[in-house]
Amino acid sequence: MDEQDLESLVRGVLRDLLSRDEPSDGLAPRGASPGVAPAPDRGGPTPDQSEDDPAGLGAADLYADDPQPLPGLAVPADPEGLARLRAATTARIGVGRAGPRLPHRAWLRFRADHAAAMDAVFTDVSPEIIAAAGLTPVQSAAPDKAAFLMDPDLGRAFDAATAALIKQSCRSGAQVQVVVCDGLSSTAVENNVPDLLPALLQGLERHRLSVGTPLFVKYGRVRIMDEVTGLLDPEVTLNLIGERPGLVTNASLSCYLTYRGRPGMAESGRTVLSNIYRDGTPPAEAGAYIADLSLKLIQTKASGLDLKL
Amino acid sequence: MILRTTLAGNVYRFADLKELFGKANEEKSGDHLIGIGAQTASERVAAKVVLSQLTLEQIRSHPLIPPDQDEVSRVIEQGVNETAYQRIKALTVGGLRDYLLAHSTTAADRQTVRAGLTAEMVAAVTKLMSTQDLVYGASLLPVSGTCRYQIGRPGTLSFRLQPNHPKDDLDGIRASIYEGLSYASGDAVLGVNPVEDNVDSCARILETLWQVMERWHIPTHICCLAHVSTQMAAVERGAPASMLFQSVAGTESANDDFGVTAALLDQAEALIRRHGLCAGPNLMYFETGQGSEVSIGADKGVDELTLEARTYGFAKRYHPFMVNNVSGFIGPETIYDGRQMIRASLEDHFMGKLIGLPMGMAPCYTNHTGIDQNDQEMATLLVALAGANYFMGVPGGDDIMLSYQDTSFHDDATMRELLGLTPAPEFFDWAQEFGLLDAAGRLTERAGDASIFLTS
Repeated sequence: MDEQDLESLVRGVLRDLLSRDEPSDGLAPRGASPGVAPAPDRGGPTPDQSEDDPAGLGAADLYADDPQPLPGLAVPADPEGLARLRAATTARIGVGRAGPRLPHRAWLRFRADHAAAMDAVFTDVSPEIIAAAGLTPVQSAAPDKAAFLMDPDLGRAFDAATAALIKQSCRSGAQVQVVVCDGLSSTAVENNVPDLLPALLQGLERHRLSVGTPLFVKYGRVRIMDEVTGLLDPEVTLNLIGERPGLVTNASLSCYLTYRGRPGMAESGRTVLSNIYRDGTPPAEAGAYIADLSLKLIQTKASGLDLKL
Repeated sequence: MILRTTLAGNVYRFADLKELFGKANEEKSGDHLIGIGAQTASERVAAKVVLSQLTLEQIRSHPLIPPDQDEVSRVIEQGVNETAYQRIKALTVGGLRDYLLAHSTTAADRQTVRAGLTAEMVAAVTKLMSTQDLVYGASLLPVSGTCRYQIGRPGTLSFRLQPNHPKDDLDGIRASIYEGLSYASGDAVLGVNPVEDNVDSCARILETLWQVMERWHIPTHICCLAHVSTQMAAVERGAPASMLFQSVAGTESANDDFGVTAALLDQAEALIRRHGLCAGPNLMYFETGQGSEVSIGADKGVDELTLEARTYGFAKRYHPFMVNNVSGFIGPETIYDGRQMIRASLEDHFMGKLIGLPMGMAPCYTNHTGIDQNDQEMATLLVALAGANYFMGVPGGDDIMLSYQDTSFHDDATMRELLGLTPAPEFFDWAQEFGLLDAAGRLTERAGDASIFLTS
């Protein structure tokens, strides 16, 4: 967008703010793109036309700005000042009220964000995405999602049969072993891995590093990477894992790296790159960076606190 | 000591008090995680029956974690008033429950009982109580705290304004403070959880809070919730603070993990008494939560409710201004769903008040549990009815730094209006003068607009 566009956008937003009874919705305009709340990191709706809804877009999108001023709320003492305050934080401020309660749009937006967070935790990564990414699926010792959530140790181990299968069917002794885990956000895996993994594998190839059989671990936690290291003996192990979702994003992925990790190792031996998602470190960029980082670990024979970057 | 009973023809035996205490709890995922929860509904009730018939003396003479092995146990033992204990030691746990709830028991009687109790006795009686028992029982046990002024007086409800920011950005923190103040939230404390736990950052946040408080002549308190040793260093360097904060737990090994000992907290209290902004006498702020010991493997095989009671027993040594639980913050391995969170909130509030702490509450949840906002609001209503001293005030209920949900400014105003409560009198006067609350304590038309702090 050029400067003129930006200026007219800002003017439009200010006019809009001044004309309304209340900053619309609790969906705070942020930073450089005021008036447009960020949509959650997920696929768009499919149009579904009907007589009441010729455009086929359904009820108004909560993540778009509200064109209607809300009735019955006080005019802000300083509308421009309020917009500045809202730009200073992602906290839900300037949301107005209905009596002492949240106005309905702010309330529904809160529910929508929480629902997206819960769905990220409680749904599984789709098998098609795992297959398309060329990942070999295995499962931790957790029998189901509830057990995985309630007993963290289950997600850090394999049962004997799975361990034997991994040892038997996966390449051992590679320089780099890739592990993808659902962790606490399947959405993080679905949204980031399809772009991240090809960039990562290309980068590793460019650095002429040998790569083991990439694994997907269902119900996996961070430390399960050490079990994989124990079974397949790579130099570097990478764990790409879904982070616990907040209401700001449900799709953030982390990458943990170890050099010559082992079961029971100290947490300080891990190097971490977090906040991989569309509005954080974008996945393709993260893939290339992780490939460079892997080379660095191999060259310095270190990870975590021992690694001097 | 009889640890056996027969229910509907089945015999239930319990090996020791640890097993009995675990099985007498309402269901919690943390008790199952360490394998001490009841296996069946009948076993749970059998454990309650056996527990109800033990005397307080039997509980004291069979410590779950012996004092020679654990600092928390020693601190609790040192805190018992022996005269009061002699008067109540022959009571059974069931008898204690009925005595606490009876119309014929006076406020003075309850004070006496409180002085003679240990944390394990408090845990035991709590296991025999229902939802309404816990609400009603706690309402009979008001405890207030005084720092700059008093909070927790019956008829009042106070709030900690929690304006956290994921980068400790001072403009962002100020924006959330203005929003909260515009809802008349913040009479308990303006309290920030910092991202960076270092002395510079802590001092910078305290200075910012101090400036806001001074600029608008707000009678309130300020606190930066870094590790206590960080806050001590900041105060020694001249940073302004009304109180010192620390997370505490119910075993010595869990406190070790938090980097806390009784001696360190003794030093902290002495320091803030000498160099803090307020006369007190209550100058410490503690956060606690069921399951914190289990989540770091420092539970010693004791159930999470009892460990929470022990945490309160430890906290009592410091005569704190504020104590609140964050039981819903820890995760599904300790509290799995809304039912468990609501129960834990009621238990924690009751236990804290029975031990003699000025309990506030943080009914809250993370996104990897089955708990949702409706559960959270039910918990808030119930502990407000029970007489919680204060709640958190988080913008829109969404803490963007800690990534969890807690009570909002809207919830706070709703509780006050529904229950006819007002802020601490000093802050209430300010909020009326500033035009935020009417004489009944309801939000005015001007309230809820953070931008009034930019024009006044």
